[in-house]
Amino acid sequence: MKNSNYKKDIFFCFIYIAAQLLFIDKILLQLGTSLILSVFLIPLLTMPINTNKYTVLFFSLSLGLIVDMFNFSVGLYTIAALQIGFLRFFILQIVAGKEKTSLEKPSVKVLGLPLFVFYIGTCFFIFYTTLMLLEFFNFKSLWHNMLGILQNTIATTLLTIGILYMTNRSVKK
Amino acid sequence: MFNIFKFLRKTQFLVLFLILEMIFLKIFFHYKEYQDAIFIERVMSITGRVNAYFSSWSDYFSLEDVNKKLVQENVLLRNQLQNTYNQISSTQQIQIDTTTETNYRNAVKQYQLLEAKVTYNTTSYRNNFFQIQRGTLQGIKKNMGVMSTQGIAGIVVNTSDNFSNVLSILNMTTKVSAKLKNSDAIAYFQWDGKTEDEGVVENYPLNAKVNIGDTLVTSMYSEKFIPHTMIGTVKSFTIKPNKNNYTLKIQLSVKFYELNYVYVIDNKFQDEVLTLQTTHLHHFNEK
Repeated sequence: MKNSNYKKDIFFCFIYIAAQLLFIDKILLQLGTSLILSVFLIPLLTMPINTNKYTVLFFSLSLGLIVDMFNFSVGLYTIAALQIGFLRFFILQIVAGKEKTSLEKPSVKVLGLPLFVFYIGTCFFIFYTTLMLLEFFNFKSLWHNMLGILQNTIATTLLTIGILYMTNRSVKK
Repeated sequence: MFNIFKFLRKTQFLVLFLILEMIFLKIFFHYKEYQDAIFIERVMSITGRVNAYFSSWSDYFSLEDVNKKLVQENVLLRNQLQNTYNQISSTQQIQIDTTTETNYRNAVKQYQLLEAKVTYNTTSYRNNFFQIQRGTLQGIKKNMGVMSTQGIAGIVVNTSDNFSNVLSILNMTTKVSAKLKNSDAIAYFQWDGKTEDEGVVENYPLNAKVNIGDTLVTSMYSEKFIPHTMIGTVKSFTIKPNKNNYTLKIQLSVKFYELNYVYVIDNKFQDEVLTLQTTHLHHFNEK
């Protein structure tokens, strides 16, 4: 049972990365929008709550490296993904409680909608803030950057919740 | 000593995270401008093939636009054909044969255009680039200019055997020598990182006449682009207090999110010009 779950997780991980690099980025380009929707982070954010924090850190490193390789962004995504790999543990402690260790994955069902949105939203906010600050290393256009960070965070949070709802429903069926 | 080990053991997760972050921050800031990233060339041959495969699929969705652009370009080229000109007797002597290259007696062809397919493209970052399916085996070299049918698009920064990375002009590090079509004053065009269809020309001389809608083209001082190639049109302009120049907001002519095919500009004299410039600088520094 556990083995089949791992296989399913690995399969979905590949699907998310492929969807990010080969479809979502291309669709956003065709639409001519400046939105960045980083759905490749979903497997990292939905790892079971009690996953070893070193495993999470190295998984975030691998995810960042793969996306950097395709974007030729030389470390940009790796740095931002590592931040989530590191902070996820602490955000989950706030959200799920210190004493509560669970084998379950963070989801609306486990955490409740407000806490889950807070968890996902915080992670994406940290991710996009790092991404924007690294890319545009000055505070001249702070307002423009803040707007971009908020816009990307809200859009990706909504998309993530939508995707997770759809995948959970199709898996149950 | 024991306390240090105890402290490190306690904080090893944080230490590991900080080490990894520092390693990648160093890599990021070192290779930020792509120029010398050797490993990018190696990665490019792998990701290039994947991008090319998926680009051939996504091409089907943009066929209509590509066709429209081809028709427009055909019209432009047909208008340049010899038979669309009135052949008065004094010009007939230059018709040595039918090819364009020898139509102009004593003229040397300086620019050769090589067509290339765009396999990957970004527009939502501060430093954007695109990848083309042409590399060193097809004669592409670093520092070549790239244009589309609508105007200038970027500069080649990395090449592998069959693919090249192009630093798009939607990049805050790229500066292009530019001028207004109806003026001789020259300034630099640069993208300001805000929207993907606008750029800025700072310090444009105040004695030049500027109107909204004026065309901005490449100047003759850029060795990467063909002189007088379109960059965009003036959207608005301002004069900063106590300054003797304009700041022009430029509406870019190239729609970067529609980039499917581009032309790489091979300037036959580029190496010669660059060598001369480097020699001159070297000589100047020695003095």
